[in-house]
Amino acid sequence: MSAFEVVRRLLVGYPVPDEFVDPAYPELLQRLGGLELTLVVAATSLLLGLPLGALLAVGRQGPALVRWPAVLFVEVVRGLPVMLLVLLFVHLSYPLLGVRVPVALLGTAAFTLHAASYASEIFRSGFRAVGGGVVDAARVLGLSRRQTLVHVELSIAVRTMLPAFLGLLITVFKDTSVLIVVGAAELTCTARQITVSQPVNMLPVLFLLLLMYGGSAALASLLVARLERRWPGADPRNDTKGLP
Amino acid sequence: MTAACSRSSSSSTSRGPIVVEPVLEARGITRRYGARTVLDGVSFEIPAGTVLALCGASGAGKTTAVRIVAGLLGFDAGELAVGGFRVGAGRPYPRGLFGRIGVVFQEYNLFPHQRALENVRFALRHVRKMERDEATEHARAELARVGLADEAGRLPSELSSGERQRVAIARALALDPYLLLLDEPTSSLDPAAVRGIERLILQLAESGTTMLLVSHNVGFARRAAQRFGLLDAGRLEVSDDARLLDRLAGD
Amino acid sequence: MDFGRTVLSEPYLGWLLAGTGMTIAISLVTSLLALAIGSFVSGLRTSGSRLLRGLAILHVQTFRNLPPVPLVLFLVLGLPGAWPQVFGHDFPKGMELQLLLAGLSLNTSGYVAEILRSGLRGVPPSQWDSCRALGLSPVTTRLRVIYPQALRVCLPALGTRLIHNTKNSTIALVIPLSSGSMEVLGQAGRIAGESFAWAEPLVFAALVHLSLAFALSALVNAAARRAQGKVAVAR
Repeated sequence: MSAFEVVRRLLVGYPVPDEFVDPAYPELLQRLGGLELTLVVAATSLLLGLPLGALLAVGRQGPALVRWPAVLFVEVVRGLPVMLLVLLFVHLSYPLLGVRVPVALLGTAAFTLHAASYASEIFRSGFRAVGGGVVDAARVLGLSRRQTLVHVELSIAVRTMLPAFLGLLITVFKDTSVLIVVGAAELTCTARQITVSQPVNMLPVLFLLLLMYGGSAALASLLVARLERRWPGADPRNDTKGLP
Repeated sequence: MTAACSRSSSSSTSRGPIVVEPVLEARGITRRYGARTVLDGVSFEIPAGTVLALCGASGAGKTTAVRIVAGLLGFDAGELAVGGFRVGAGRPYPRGLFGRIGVVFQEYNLFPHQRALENVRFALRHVRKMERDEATEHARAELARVGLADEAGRLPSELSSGERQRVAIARALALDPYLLLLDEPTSSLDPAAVRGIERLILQLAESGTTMLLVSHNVGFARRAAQRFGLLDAGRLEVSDDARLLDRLAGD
Repeated sequence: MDFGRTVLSEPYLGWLLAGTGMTIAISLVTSLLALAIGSFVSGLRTSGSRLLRGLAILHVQTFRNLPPVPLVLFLVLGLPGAWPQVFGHDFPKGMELQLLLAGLSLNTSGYVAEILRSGLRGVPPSQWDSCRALGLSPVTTRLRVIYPQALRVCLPALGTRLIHNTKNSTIALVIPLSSGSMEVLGQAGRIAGESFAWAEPLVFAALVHLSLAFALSALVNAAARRAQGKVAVAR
């Protein structure tokens, strides 16, 4: 198997036999494999998980009736290994829902909850970064509520949270490798299939894998560095130079 | 720059009694928290160009008084008159009054994501709707006045505590306020910076800036102010005689 | 949900309890190994040799960027195949558990090395100067003054990473292990293989992991609070 073939397989996975495609669900989704599938699962989980996380974070500020379930949810999901979460989704879906759902969808659902629980913590840290004193200062300067919200509160919160969200993206991206245990043909699974089906040396494939996972992490770090240069001073608690 | 602050009613040049409206007048301000009365019928006035120092033990109600004057807190009885605006008990703080009292907080409360220049300039542009260049020039001048002309491009996290408070003072003065409200301006500073800020405040006082200075540092209050207020369990006693403050045990 | 049939009866309960013990054992061993390897690597970072520094950076970059699943997979399933080609003789059999431990430890060690390094940078440079002025030996300086302070700085991050390491024990599921070596999630799968009931064993495994996570959290918080009491040398 040529190097080109290996890379291609890692990117798109192996072709899926028609018997494995459930007509009740989008065909395109079920034919995804390799890096493509990994990216789709990760991106979807974050797209859905972030708003859910925001909701949970806001819920934690609310009345006790909303707060306790939110706290419980976040603490439980954060305390569980992703692998367990995925297995719970996969093995409880049929008994609970009565239909067979493609593994990729179930995996995405599990990762959505996983991402949401971490995202809620990031949102909370964003809220906290905006100290009450700064809002007072804005008010006595004559800034309107809207101006304070946009230029002060959101500005500070976003600058604090964005690097953390990029980190979460990378973490979710790497964690999708656990989906191999439920049979999802994501990047790691495809790599395994390559080294099993063809007598290819494991080292080059491992190296490519490292490149693919690591490349995304490096990209994210670069982005974070550029952001921090454009938007310095996001977190007032990061002070080390100024004396208190 | 502080034309509004230093109204020219200086008694040393007057030829007779001149009746001028005080910049700030508080009458019978009362504030309760449940059963506790934090401020009980507090009355004082601050004539233009003077400094009133408000002292008292912690918990005596100084912070509450400051927050009420600044518009961050309401009050249950009494009346507040500032620069022509009237604030009634239980009524909302007049919108026009925000931005007309310069507040310098104990913890500076600078915007951490903005550089020094932007901190000073922000309200000029977004509240006074000044043009960018004019606002920038104005802000630079204020920073120069507090001695930070070269630090305009620095972030608060890159400034020492004394420098941060200077930016806070510049930010408060930039809006040309009726008066400057300083809430324990040196309490969060490291000792070396305290003297610098005290000197700056004394300079401002000498140039006629009207100020309400809240401080637990009685020695500094004596030097900076002409009138003195002692808050004790919600009640205020005002005097021109600094010996009033001797009643405060220790310093 | 029928816990009586699948979880609370023998032999299943015995399996789950053995699995719990294994989870704890794996977490403990890999945590200790990760701390050891991580300390060593972060020590290399400050070495005079560019080669050693480069190796340290390579270690960190590799093991932080490569997720534990592919790492463990290739160690257990790929290494025995490639070994004879490089070393001539066959790779010993039955080493799956050890290779899993190695993989998990290496993965966590990458993070630990970075955390320790930032902890070290968090110690004010003046501390080093004070120690030299006092005439303390390099070893004493490090052991008694610098490292305790560095540890205090990075304790929360270290604790979080070790808790994550505990959750990683479930990665054992990707490799074939003998039933004696299975951790709690693996045992849950084993029960499900026989009884066709996944739900109850999974819930048991979930409760085990939640308890471990909370217990470790509490431990780390308590340790961090105690560490705040220590005072730095000189000024």
